[in-house]
Amino acid sequence: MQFIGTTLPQMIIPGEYSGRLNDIKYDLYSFRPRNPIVHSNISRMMKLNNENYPYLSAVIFIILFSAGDGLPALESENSSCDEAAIGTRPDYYPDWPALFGIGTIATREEINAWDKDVTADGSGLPDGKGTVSGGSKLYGSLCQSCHGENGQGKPFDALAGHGDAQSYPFPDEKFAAKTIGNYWPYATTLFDYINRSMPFASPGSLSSDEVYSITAYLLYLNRLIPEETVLTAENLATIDMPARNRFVADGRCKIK
Amino acid sequence: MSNSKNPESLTDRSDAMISRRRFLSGTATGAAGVAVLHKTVADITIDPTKQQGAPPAALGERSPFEKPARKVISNILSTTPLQDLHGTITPADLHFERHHGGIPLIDPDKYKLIIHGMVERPLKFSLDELKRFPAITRSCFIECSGNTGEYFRADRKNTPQTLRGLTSQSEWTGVKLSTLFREAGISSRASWFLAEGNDAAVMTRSIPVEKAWDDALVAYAQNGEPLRPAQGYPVRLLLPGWEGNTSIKWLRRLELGEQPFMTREETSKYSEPLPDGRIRQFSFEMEANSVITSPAYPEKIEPGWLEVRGLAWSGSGKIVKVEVSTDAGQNWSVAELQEPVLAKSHTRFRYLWNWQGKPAVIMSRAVDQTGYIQPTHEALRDERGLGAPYHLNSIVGWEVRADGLVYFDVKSWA
Repeated sequence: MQFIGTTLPQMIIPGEYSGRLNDIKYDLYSFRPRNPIVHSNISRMMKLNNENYPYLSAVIFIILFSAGDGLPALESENSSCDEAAIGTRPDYYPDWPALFGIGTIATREEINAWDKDVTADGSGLPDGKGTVSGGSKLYGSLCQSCHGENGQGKPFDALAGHGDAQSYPFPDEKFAAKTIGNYWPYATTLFDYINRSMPFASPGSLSSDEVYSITAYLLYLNRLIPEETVLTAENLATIDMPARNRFVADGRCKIK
Repeated sequence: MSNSKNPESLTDRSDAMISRRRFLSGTATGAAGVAVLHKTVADITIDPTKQQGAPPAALGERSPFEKPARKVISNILSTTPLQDLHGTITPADLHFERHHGGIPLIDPDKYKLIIHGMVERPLKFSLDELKRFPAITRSCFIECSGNTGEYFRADRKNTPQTLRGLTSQSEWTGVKLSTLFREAGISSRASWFLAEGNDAAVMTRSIPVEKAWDDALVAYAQNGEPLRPAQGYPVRLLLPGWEGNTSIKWLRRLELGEQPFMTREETSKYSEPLPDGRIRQFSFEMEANSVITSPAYPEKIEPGWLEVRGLAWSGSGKIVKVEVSTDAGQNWSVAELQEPVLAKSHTRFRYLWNWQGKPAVIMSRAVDQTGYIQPTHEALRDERGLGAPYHLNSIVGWEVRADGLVYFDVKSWA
């Protein structure tokens, strides 16, 4: 005895949706009924042109761009959606002045004090250098209590080990460790994150040389650089990260 | 409804309803706080028409009988007690918390926001200056993309709070990000910006500029008052419908660029390894989702008419339909949606049910304006595998036993 006591608002749902759960013919990929209404696509924002063959495109990128020699754009997961913007730049503001004149010019000094980010092509890396051996000592005193011996993890994130860098246990193994070797796509991100947020008890306290050294040690633990490597602004962005080409921009059809 | 409480829940000391029971039986440790209202537990035996009540006070307080509480999961996480709330707004002190370096204390007089990078005029704004710009107010939810994620445990004693408590809704006020970008004169070539927080994590995310042209807000007020510290006081970014971590709290810097910055949060953390070997990145939108908040564990229901109640929401726009099943997903009936239904907002749904006292599994599924249908756990697992503790929005079932006890339907998530 069901009480179906409500009025149904006008649906804009395609007709194949109704009835039993198992009868729904939705797209397993997007969880939307097929033939949705309007699409936009995050790949638009990624400035991509290569369509339909992401793996082939990845191969082409590898051929065209040697590591560190410019940063290839991120692949899109799926380029089959029609393209429509999430938002478009407004160019008409009724009754608004050309400028409100609120706020003041930020000085170069003010910007530099906060602008520490390092991007994937290595922009923003400071001068300095670091070694694996130096990083090993720093790791022991500053990092190991959280990240374990040799970066094995516990009580917090594992940074190394847990299978070789080519392994991909994630779909089948719940909570498989996402290490620098098997998951992180850019070595520059390590520097950026350690520099701004670590060590946990005293974030932002390390010198550039110290950050280079800890980064070097972690890359070494993941067998991504030889032990004798001296890490600098010149070579950090060139390090080959095994998971790099796995990353794709969300390509599920975004619908407004 | 004449629902009583499931006796097994007495072992769950964090359950707010049980606090109430203990309070009524005179064993609540919180009783001392009642004195503020010039009433004691003993006073409730006195006829309120026979004595003067409490005087006014500078700050209001909840009834001493009501003790809704966040559930603190860890040093970085607390959840909203969805089962204790009505309507769609989350009281600010019950908004879920997720932070990456603790909650900073920021002096509003020293606050500044800097916009720089690919702009004609690098600008800094004080809090007062931000408030001088044209303001807008809107409601929307914020949901952690880890809702029902790695903190989920397959336990029949899950509550709406433990299953879906990482979503909360507020009415936010601030200046549109597009207004600030216009003031700074951002380059037509700028396609991404970095948003940076002023906390110990110096939390950063890369955001497509198009989100600013759509509906991004630089918010300084929540439910009519300044932001709570845990929600980013004095200023946060607010990206309606997008995974919560992108709405950077304690916002201090926006840098315009041509590429995503590839921060730790958007590479090693908030990404989803897929079964085909690829890893999905920048999965910003939160998918349509819903949960029945009553009846749910630890309630006990009686045979007869009752109203099944819950919340539905979608980061893609409005909820257009919620369906309720009382037979484990075999048949579905349309629930009533409480108007007004707002885009990217919690939507209250209700469904009248005449429970006959037989075992049942009740569940809800949401459909949003894009046609997206909330999937089953099985369908979601097939698409994603086990590797991503994010964007897990599958249908939640509650098992109603013949004796009226209600439990989370663990087997539907096996």
